[in-house]
Amino acid sequence: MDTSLIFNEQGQATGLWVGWLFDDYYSAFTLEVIQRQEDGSYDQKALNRLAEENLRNLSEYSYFTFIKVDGKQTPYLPVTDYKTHVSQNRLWMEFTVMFKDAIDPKKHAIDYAVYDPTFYVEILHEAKGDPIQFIGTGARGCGYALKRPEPPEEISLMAGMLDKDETAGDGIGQYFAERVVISCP
Amino acid sequence: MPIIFLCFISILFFPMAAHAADVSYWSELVSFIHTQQQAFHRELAATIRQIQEGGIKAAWAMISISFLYGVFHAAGPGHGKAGISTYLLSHESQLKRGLFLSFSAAFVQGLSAVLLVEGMVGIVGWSRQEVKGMVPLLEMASFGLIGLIGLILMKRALTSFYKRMKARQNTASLNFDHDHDEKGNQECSSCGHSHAPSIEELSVKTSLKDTLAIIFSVGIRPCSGSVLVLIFAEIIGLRWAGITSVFMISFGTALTVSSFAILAIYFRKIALSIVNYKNDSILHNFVSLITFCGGLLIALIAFSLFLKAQDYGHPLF
Repeated sequence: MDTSLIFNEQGQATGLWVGWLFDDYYSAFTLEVIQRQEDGSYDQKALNRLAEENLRNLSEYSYFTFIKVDGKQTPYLPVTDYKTHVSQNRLWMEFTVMFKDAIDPKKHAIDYAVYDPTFYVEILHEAKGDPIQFIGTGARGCGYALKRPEPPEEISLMAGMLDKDETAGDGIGQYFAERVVISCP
Repeated sequence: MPIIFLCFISILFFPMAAHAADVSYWSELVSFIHTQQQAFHRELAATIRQIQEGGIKAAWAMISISFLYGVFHAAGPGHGKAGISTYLLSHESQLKRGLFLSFSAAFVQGLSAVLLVEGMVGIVGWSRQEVKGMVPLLEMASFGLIGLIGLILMKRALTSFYKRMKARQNTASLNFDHDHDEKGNQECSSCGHSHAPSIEELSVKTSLKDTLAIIFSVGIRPCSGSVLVLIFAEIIGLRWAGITSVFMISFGTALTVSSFAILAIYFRKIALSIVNYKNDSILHNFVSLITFCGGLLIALIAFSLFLKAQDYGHPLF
């Protein structure tokens, strides 16, 4: 996963861009029903439909995207902006979550995490390269810290008991999420 | 003596029992196993892709990764580890039998994944989505059956305990001052006066039926990781790679489960031999206690998994 926090010119955070590269299993499984063109590439319209459906379903789960301002979940607008394609047999989907109100990171503490609250799908930032970016000139001077998950012991024990296709119920996912903490001195 | 038993149970069911001293070690171990198996599972897909791209060398990588995935994956629940170990803990068994149980259950589990995916997609013509939807149902069936085995173990323990109590009452009133010559006496065969009862005499009678019931109830549930591998391999046109991989996963699973089985058998031997020195009526009760507690644990775990295994919606599937 790649994420980029979007800033306006006034230096306020206005949204979060999220890009997901799905794993081989999910990609093969979902792409199997997508029509292919003669050259073997996937029909873009069908890919878009898949992405739209996924986003529609995800909207009930706040797009697996959790942005906290001073420790409180910030409300955002429905996602309309997305892109999807297949590269090397893996499905890619990117979308932008826009905040209802722009947030001034100098005045408020901002941190965000992207995770599956049911702990069914593991979502981690790409290990290689620069998976976390800032977009916009207003981001100048800002930095971030990526906090690795540190689940409480009981939670990690419980999660260890879960099998591949079991969910732990809503809520446990947050303990295994990577959290990005923004600082704009 | 129950301490040894408790130790074993805590190894077996560590998430529940581990709130003792070494919580952080367990927690680290559990999360290590969890991360490892997920990494192996991802890598498995990558190696199957490499085979597709013409690298026959990748076949060896696939086989060894499948095996390792099996070893780590079986450390999680639902591979008969708890059921088989508790059964072996409460019933006198040879090492051979423990290994047979572990390996057959793992093999049948692999077979059930292959039959489900290849049979249903290839022969019956189900869609892969339908096949995936079947997994929770089979899981429920398996957990339900394992829970039932737990209940049967509890019932066995209670029956043998009750019978012994009754026999003791009878002998107490009828042969109050009998001596040790009466060892062979039918009335006294289980009254606790023979000084060296063989363990075979003490354990609840085991049978082929038990073995088959355990193998079936564990094996009916296809390992969901294997189902994903099979579906994946089938989609990219490498059915045989998928099947080979699943049986290597089973082999890895069998190895993990059988190490638990071996532990169970030796724990039982050691525990019984220590109790044996003191008093054999305690020994009887001890066996019943193990059987009862084991049955209760299996039943509780299986039924809680049963409730969790039900199908649920996920936004991405």
